[in-house]
Amino acid sequence: MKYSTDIIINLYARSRTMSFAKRYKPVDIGIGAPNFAPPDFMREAFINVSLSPDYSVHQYTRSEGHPRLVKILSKIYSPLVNRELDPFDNFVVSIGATNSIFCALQSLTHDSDDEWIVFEPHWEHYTAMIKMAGAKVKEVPLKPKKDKYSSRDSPSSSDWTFDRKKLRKAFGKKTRGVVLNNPNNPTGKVFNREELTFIADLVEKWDAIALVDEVYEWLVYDRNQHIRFASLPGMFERTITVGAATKTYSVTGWRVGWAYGPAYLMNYMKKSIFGAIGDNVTPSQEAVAIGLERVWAERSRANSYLVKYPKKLQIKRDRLVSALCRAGFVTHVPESGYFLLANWTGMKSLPSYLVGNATDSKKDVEFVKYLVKEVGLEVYPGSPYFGEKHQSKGSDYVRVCFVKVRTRSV
Amino acid sequence: MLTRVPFLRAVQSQLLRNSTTEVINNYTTMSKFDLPDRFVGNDKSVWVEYIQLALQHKPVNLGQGFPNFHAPENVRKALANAALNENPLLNQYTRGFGHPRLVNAIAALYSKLLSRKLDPTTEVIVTAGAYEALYAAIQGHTSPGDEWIIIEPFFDCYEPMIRTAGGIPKFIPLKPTKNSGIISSGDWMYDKNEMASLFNKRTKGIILNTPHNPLGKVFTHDELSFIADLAKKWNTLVVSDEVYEWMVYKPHEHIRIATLPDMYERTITIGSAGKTFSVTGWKIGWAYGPANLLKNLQVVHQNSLYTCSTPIQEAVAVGFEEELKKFGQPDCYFTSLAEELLEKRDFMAKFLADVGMAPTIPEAGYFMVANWTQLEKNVNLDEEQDEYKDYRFTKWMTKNVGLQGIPPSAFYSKEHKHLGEDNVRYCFIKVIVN
Repeated sequence: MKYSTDIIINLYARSRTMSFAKRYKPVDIGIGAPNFAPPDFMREAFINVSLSPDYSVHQYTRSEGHPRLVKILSKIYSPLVNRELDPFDNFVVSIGATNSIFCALQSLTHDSDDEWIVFEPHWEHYTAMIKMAGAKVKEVPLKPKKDKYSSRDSPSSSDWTFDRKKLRKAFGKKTRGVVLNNPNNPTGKVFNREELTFIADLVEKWDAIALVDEVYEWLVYDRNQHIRFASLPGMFERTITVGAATKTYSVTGWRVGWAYGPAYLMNYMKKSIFGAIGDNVTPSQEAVAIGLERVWAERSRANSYLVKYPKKLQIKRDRLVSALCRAGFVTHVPESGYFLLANWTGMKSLPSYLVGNATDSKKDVEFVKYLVKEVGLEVYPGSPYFGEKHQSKGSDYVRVCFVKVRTRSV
Repeated sequence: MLTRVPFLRAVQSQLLRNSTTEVINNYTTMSKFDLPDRFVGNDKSVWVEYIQLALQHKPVNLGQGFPNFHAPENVRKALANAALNENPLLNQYTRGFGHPRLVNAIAALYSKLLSRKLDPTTEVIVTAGAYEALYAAIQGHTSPGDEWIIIEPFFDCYEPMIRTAGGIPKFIPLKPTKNSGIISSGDWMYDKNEMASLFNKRTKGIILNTPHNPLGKVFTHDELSFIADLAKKWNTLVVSDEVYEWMVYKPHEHIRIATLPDMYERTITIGSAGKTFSVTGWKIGWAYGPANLLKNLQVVHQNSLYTCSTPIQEAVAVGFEEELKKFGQPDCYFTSLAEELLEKRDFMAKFLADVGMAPTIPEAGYFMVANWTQLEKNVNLDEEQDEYKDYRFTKWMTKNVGLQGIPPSAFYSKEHKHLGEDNVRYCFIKVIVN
């Protein structure tokens, strides 16, 4: 067994609060999955595929991606990155975005000297995947502008940014690439053009690759604009962009993700995906393709799904933000995605064992247990999203998912 | 026909030109991003090549193995119901190591077959097809330098999976012990002395495939016991790929090596919903075995894939529950599938014998290996360029006769490829008997 214990510990860190939660059956607003059905047009597509008179929708299809799906993906993304994408050369489909990220890291890591730069806080699997590929992780922190906020501040996720000097120092000859999650989980940050250009210049300078996870690309709120990294000058040739049907269409359980980028990088992905899973799920791909064809057909309508759904989520976000503020959390209002980070340390009437002792990096776990037991709410502790050095900073936060919040209209 | 051939060859070389190399050459400045060494040779070569060949020549394609008939109606309906269900969570993430309803069903089935109570949460894991189960088992249990024994011919992904993980494959061929008369897949055997000599203290495990692809061999109790004793003697794992477990022709009987004395503790057994329910596109497989061995698979799975499709797992679970109720009865799919296939097998064997080949009659599965050398005088192998004769034969047949099979030398290690050259593999699941 070649995996070091820290990967395993990382894996099971969260399961400790999860098994605790099982005993108390709280309302789970931690995990990033909706508690409602997918939109009707997606469900109908899936049902029709299941009962299709065509037997082949239940059998193997093209391993690198079902032709019907990659064709509609190329239609959707070509205008978004200002270039004609070939459905077969520029796309691969994977079992969820997770598998695309895994396979990209596997196929681009050569040896144990290779380094991948990751912004923290980050989705906890990135670092485990980099280590499994045999490379080293270089974490660059995103930090809120102020050290301490009061509950009246109502900061935004855009307050979180990286120290330019630190990022410049992180890049070097050993850099394979940077893993960028934009829109970002767990902060909800949408990187702005200046930040992205700064990253792109370093990627170019050090002949690196950008692995950009954009699964929340359609869930952007207020007037914020998501800029696709691959659309920046010169970046398409060095970028693997990962997307998924998962979050946008509330089909987290269908497991359809994809990656797009230049043909030479997609060729590596294809080999790596073939080495790990061989093929994708045909009926899920066919159903997603049918759903996306409809989204494409209604793209110019003002009441299209891609316009309406983020508005619906924005209402949920606002409800959760105001509820958390009333409860005494300092909430960083997310510009996008499913999640937000809330600093709980300033809350009043916390039990004494949760107050003070600022060096305890596991106090968020205790706080989450307290919430589960006493309040009946399950959120995720913040520390697993931070690197080892910043665990105690991270434990000031909890990650809360607002996709399940009830609104009158939903 | 002769005028067509050079033309076809030109088209073909066009098609099969290695596009990767070409693209890489355009990016010489980015050589830093060449494919890492551990992936070199990880191409799907035979499949990419033969799928492309089939697209070009539109032969009767008996190459790749998947059904051209409907999956059982109950599982298709179960899939539609998962999306229709008033429980919206059937469209959302489920438990990463397997949807609870499915791991319960799998544990119930194999508890019965193994006469041992399997814990659904720790002794079963659901994966993206048997393929990912193999990947997770090999990745999760290989340290650099570990040796794995592979029995040839073998499902071609075993070797790159071991190499990618840093392991060293050691090969041992099954060889026909008979050259005339009716040859059964049971006549293909490994040499016991050779097998014993491959085990040593660096051996991490052996990959066993029973029922076997492509031969259709069902390993006997004696053959399995011999392997089991060596595995115990050298304290190694057994990864047992049993995806064809429900396609065994009477009177042969599939024996699970995990049921042999003291073998459960060292065996990871792999199964497939795609094969069990004729739904190759669903990509649901599983592994079962002792919790301490499955833990390594969980680590790989959690960080490479996280979780498999929920509605599909739900549908497979329903399929299992229904078949379990009918278990042992003639209308149980586990029984009826093999009976339907038997007719196709016999039809195929007769057809191949009639045209002058010598088929090995499979005891299981839906592939048939046939020796084609009696036809050598009738085909013009010089028209093809490949190194191995079976590649030349199958390509010539595709182009000139319109029948496509797979060259079995693809299922041997480099040093043993000549052992596969006299044969061709056909998949008979698509054959229509009338």
